Amino acid sequence: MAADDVQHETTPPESRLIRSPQNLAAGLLLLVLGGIGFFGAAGVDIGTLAEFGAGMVPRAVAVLVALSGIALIALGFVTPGPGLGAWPLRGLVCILGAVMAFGLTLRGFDLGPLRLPPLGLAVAGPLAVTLAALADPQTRAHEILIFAAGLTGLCVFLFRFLLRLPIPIAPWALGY
Amino acid sequence: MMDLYANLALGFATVWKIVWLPAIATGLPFAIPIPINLILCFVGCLVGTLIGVLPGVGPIATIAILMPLTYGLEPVGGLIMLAGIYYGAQYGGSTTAILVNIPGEATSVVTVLDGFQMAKQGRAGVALGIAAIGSFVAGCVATVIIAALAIPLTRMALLFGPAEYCSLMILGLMFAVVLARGSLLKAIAMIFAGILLSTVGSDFETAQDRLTFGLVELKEGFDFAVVAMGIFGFAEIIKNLEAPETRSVVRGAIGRLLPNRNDMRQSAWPIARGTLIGSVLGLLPGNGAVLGPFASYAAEKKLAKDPSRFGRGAIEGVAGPEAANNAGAQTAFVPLLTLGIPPNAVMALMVGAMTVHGITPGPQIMTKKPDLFWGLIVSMWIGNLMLLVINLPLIGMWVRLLRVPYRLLFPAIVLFCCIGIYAVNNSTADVLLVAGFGLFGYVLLKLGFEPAPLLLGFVLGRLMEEKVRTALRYSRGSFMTFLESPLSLAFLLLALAIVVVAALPAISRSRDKVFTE
Repeated sequence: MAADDVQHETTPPESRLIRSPQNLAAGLLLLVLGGIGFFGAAGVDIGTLAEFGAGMVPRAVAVLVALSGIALIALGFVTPGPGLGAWPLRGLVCILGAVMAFGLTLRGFDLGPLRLPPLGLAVAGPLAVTLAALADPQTRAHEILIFAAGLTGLCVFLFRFLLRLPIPIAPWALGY
Repeated sequence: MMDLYANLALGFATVWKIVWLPAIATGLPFAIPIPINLILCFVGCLVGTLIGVLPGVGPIATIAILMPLTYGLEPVGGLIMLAGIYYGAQYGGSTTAILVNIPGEATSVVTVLDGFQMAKQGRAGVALGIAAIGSFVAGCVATVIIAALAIPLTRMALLFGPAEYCSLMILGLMFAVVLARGSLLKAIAMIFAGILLSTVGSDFETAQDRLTFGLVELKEGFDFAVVAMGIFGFAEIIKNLEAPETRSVVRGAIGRLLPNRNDMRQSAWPIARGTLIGSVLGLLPGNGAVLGPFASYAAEKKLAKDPSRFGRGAIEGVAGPEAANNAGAQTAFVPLLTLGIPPNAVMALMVGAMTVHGITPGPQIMTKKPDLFWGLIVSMWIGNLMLLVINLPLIGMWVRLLRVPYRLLFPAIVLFCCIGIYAVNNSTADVLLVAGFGLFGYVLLKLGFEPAPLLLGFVLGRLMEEKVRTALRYSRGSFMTFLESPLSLAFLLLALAIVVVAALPAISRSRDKVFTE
């Protein structure tokens, strides 16, 4: 996992063309976002100023987002500012991986050739807890496995039986 | 005055609503009365504090995480519980600030200064006690202020046309931009990005799909809980994992909780002044509440006979800012409930939760749903009282919770969030979407963007679009309508003025200082 931790330089030397990589990247992000908004709403009617169509506001705001992006990019070349900093990917991958694993296994999915039967909270719960726990290097294997099982049991009791949420527990064994 | 009394009475009646649990359900020979709303308020306070005391989980993340719990309830009960969660989260943040030396959010930064020093001197109990008492006093006063201002402000708001409304929203957003941390340009960009996100889904007038990219899941737009939990909840957890854990929970005794007579005498005036400062600042349409604790601390230090005591465990330095914090947190409801404009990210979350219950905050709720409006206001006061009652006796439990290692806490939070977000719509697509917003929020944090303005833009986006469209329809497409109304013009000029002032080099430098202190 440690190999994922990519280190970028924190502050660029003064002589570089790019004075603030952070602002440059931020501007690029906004430019992409504005682009998605502008072209994504391209087929939608704009209307007139007196009678807006559905596409007017999305496209107008997308232009504003993109313009802010251009301003930030310009700023990135002109004024010195912070670098990109470190982007340790371990936490990001583990936490978001845990959330996605939960979403994919709880009720399964069916994407043509790729399919998974619903596995329920009994599987999705411990899976999410264990995956999330991998984000912290201090995690101990036996501790987290016991913790995951106990926590899932607590959640089943709390959400299924106390709050009566319609959340599948273990459809493959219990039928619900 | 009689009106006020009758309204508050209605509020109390709502909060005290009794539901009879039928005899069949329990097997007992008689029906059991259950004060359902009171219990919801209590549970809200309890879980709010429970999550709020966790280090690194501020009030915004707490509310984002707990919001789905209220979705299944009826509107009045749900909102009362939400208010409980809100106060619990606020107070939980103060507890962490005093005991662990970690401010959960901008407004607890000041509490850390003297609160943690008091804790180190073995007076943690007194610091927590005076924080609770100060908050309670401030809460009582602020409740009366809200009740008194609600009617006149609502009447005023009903006179606003779409152009005035729109300009007022712009003013509120500009306040929020100025009071956000970091670059002004980035904060404004975040507002635009938030409005852009809010346009996803079918158009409310023509029902035409826009920016859905053919996905059925996006037809209704992004669910508020999904956006908030991704950007505030998960992004925050991931960020916290990066900093190596340096938690120094106060060891040793908490000491007695109740301040003695000397402590009370020293704190009485700071609490009164803090309440006043916080209440007034909280009323501003932008995020004025955030300034309350700073202003109160500065005032107390200036008024003190011996200013050098501050920073070394002066009780006034905890009492005043905590009172200001709570007063501001509460009067911030005024712009929301009377004008429908959330002044900060926490209030934006409240809007999201209210919308889920089919309520659009604004001048119309007071007349259309008086029980809800006054019930909410009274439950604020009850919530404050409950915090005083449950937090002080339970302080030992919170301390023990603070000692649970983060490596066990965060997987548990992740699981609770997953279940919570699934439960909103019984949809696993929402869970996947949350992961997407978590990634987006993390990238934003890393690139120096403040996520709060994004959330405000997202919440206000649809309302603004509606008002702009109506205003321009009335004026047949002329933007002069925003400048011809004197009120609208005044709002816009004020908005322009604060941005220009904030952009001046001298001010922006001291602004940086305030927020990085």
